[in-house]
Amino acid sequence: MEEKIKSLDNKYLKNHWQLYVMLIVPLIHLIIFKYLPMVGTMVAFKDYNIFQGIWKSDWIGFTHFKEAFASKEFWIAIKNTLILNLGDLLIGFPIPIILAIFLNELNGEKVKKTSQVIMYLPHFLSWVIIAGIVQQVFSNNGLINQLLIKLGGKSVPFLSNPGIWRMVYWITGIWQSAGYGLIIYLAALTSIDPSLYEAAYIDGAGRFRRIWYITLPQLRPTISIMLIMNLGKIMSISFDRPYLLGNVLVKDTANVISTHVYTLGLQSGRFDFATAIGLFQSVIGVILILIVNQLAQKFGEEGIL
Amino acid sequence: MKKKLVSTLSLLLAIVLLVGCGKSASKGEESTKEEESTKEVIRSEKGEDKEAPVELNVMIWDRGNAAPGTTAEDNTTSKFIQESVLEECNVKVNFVPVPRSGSNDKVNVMMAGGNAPDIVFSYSRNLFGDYAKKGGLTDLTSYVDEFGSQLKETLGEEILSIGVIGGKQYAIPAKRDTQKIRHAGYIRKDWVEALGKELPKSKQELIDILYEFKEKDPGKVGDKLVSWAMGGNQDTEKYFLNFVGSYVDMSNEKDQYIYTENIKAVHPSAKEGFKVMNKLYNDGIIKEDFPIDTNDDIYKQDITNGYAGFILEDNMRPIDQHWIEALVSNVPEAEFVAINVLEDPNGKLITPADPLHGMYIMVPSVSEKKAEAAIKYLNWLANTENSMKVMFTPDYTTDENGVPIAISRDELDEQGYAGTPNDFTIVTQYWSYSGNKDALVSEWLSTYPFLSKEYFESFYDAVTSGLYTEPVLQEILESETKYLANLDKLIIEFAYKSIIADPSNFEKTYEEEYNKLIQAGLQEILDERAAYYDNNVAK
Amino acid sequence: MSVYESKSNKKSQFFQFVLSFIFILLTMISLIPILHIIAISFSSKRPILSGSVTVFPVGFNTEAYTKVLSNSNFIGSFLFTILLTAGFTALSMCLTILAAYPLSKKGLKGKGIIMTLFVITMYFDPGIIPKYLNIKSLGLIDTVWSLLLPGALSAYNLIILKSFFMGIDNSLYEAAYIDGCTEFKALFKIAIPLAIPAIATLSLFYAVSRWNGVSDVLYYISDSNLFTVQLKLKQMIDAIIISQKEGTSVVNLVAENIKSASIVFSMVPMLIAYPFIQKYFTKGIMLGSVKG
Repeated sequence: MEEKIKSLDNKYLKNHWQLYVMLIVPLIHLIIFKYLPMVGTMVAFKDYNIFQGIWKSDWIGFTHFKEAFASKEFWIAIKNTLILNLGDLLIGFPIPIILAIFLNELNGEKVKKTSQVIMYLPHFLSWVIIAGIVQQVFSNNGLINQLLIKLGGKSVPFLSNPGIWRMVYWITGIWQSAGYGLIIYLAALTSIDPSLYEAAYIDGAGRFRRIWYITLPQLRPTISIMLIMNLGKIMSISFDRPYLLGNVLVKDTANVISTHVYTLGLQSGRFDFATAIGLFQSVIGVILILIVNQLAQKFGEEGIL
Repeated sequence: MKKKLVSTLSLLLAIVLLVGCGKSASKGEESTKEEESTKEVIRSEKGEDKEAPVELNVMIWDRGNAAPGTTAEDNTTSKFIQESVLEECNVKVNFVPVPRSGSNDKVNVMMAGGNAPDIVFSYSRNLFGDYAKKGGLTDLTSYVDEFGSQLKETLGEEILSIGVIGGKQYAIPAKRDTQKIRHAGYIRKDWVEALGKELPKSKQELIDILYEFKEKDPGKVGDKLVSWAMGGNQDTEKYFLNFVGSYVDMSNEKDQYIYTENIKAVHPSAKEGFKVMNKLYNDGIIKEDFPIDTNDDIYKQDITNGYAGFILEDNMRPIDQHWIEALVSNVPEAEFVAINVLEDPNGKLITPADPLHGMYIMVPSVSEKKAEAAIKYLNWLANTENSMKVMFTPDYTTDENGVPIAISRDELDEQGYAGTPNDFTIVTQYWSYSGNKDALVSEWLSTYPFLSKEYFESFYDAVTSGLYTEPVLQEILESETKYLANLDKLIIEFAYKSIIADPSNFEKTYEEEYNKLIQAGLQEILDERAAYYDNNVAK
Repeated sequence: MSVYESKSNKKSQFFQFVLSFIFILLTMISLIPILHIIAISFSSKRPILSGSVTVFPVGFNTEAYTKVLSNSNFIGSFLFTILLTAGFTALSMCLTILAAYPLSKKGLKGKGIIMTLFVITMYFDPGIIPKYLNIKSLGLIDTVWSLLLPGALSAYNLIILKSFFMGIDNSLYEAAYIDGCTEFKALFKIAIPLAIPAIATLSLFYAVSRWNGVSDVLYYISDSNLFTVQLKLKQMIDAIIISQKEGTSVVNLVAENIKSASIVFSMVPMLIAYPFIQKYFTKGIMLGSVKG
């Protein structure tokens, strides 16, 4: 440690041993609570018997992986996971950013503050509740279809047509999480120096030019790390949302990795099998995020590493 | 700003420290508690020549409904048990709360961690079989023989045998209350009467009435009418199983072993039943687009608003979930009565009943030393009188039918009795008056005062006629552990899709969905069950 | 407000009007379902079952709330959960700041490896059994620590905070180092004050996750004094749903009723906390304070 300090001529890092001191506790935490349990991932290659324990169970190599990859359902689940997540990314990702930017443009403090609070409330609703609301709104006798029929239109099979169901899935996702997600962008916006805006105003820049040339560049680092992290999650998907919003008519669309693992692995007490699929997802996730991060850094972004 | 920051941070630090103190304080408490308990043992050793009592940790479900000031594991009910069992069996019972929902998962991790209570239980046969097969359970055979005379008497050979796997008693199955059919039909009696008819007595009569409901709208509800209401729940086969199952001839014993519970829906003869349901659906008798209603919300609304003419449901759900209460307050003349009329191809009424056994009570293999105490405790609970004292409070009184007189919830809360005493009476729920029609009617009347005596008398007749108890295999089949949980879901999908298919497409949909089941392991299960029958039962 | 905004012209007024209208509309879309849930929590069971409750209670009653509040030690559990959430948030923020600050320094050796180690934990979930065994071997089962420690450092939040720290102008640090500032001083005097909006936001994220987290309580705790509010509420809801299946005694309530009340319970603390966090979202406040 001391040698390193001596070798540094950079004032910037003069006190950098203190930086390592700061890292001690977080690293110990990382090892104890994140990496120690990861040893358990080895059950993916074992015939796990909970009474023999992780170590003493028999090794069986890639049997679980072979079983998973051999089933047609598994690949359908992967395809569905990717489609639903890509939609979330394309539609769901920009919305909180747009909301935050325009909320920032809003002058009326009351509207600004109340809408912030209220838009983040849906985050507290569980998917069971949301699924109930979705049915009241989108079912064949639901609010929207009643309205459509009154206006002389035809009722739309929102929940039974797989394609339209996906839209419902994405829109409810936005509804549930956009208000919560925009908080992080609002926080990022606070660091913009107001004098920048004033200068732009004096230069005669219009509102949208100001957004384009001042606000967005300021948000850029936050947007890029959020995008990288979201891209890394493209293989993982929650259980509740597709399961509770889905129904048997859209099962071929709504069956995703998590629901697949749940019925085939966890419900049958097959932790080894579930772990194997989880491991597969994790590896893909990590590889993806490393690639995306490399790309981002090539384009001059900070990246997350 | 800086000052503010410093004060915030020091506040945070203070909180962290406080939490730290809290922890060490609680640790101190724990150790004194332990000391106390060891002292207690010594004291009782000195006081009497009795041996020190054996400590037994028993799982108890926590439903978050304990009386104010009490907990699920520590209340008047638990104290009564602890005192009596210490007195009579010299066993010191400690209750370990396990939240009711997620109970299986929690038991699972505790089993994996080797720190599960000495007595655990679950309704899941899959879980029980898995533990037994993997060597996680104590073989209770000899202990039951030695210390479980009351257990044997109360449960009987038939129920006890359900806890046997490979010849070893790995679990004590609980005994349920009066056996009823699992799913019952409910029909709007006032509508039937408005048509000038009597309640249906056969499947065909029922179908005819359902068509008349649609044509004549006896309840005058207009276009909201649903002759046969169904929900889209993805966890239950109650909406179709009894109907399609009634097309299956179960007189062959081998079939009885192979096609149990939901597997019955994939019996080749059940296809005819699906065809009929498919026709009913396309004729507008069955609720349109019911599979979308996954929460059953619209289904419940159809019932309680009086739009629904007929449903298939869990035997008492419309009554005890307050649906009928709500229906009657919306439509005062409504009468929604239970019927049981789906006869089999031979014209006989054999409706699948609730199983005789309830949950599986197990002793983990790491608790083998406690097996004797565990059986002594369970044996104490197996005494109906003891269990009734736990269930209805120690000094309960009875009415003329022998039914304990209900004490109001408020009064029970005030005295600190358990929120759900049934969670303590794990061995038997079959009371001294169970199986007695008059007694049960009087019990139901006091619980659901909004219905009449006549209502419950006919209800009793409907749900206790044609009872058919399905056999339970005394082995855990490999294929079942592997595929059954997934198949449970797929069978519901198979059924719903077959019912709502376009009639011209029915054959194709049925075949396609059936093949999906075969690919998902159905064939393995059918084969292994057949082999089990040939090897164990047929001999 | 700043100069340029006070000189608003008609075009800009129209823009403000349209924007306000859009946000009020969006607010309504979020609000109506919430009002519906609040209405259900105050309604009686017949209208709930018949689906006739909209945004106003029908057959007003407070049974669900009295039922919840009269429950065994609910108030105690409520206080415990608040303390737990506060402690967890404080602890998590300390750890996150301690990790994020050094890792935001460009020249730190080993930074790439350490960050990769953190990032990996975002995608690898070993499953509940290994996690339980780990907590058990650390002797934390049935202690508050099992609810405080394992989730205390989220890589996701770490990355966000790190990026905020990186956005801080280097010249501020350099000036401080010349004045003889140590890294600890720089952290407290420059980095933290400038990242307060981010710290406030992440504290909210941590608090919400702890407040609503149920599964770790279910697995790690077998002492009902340490059950959190959300776990208790979940038990109450499920008790009603499961009761029929098991033939256990019934409560005179429908599940929807308590379910809605439990959502209200889960939202209230965050509704109270949010305005305090919101204070830090005013444009430019932080920069001004440092400059001045």
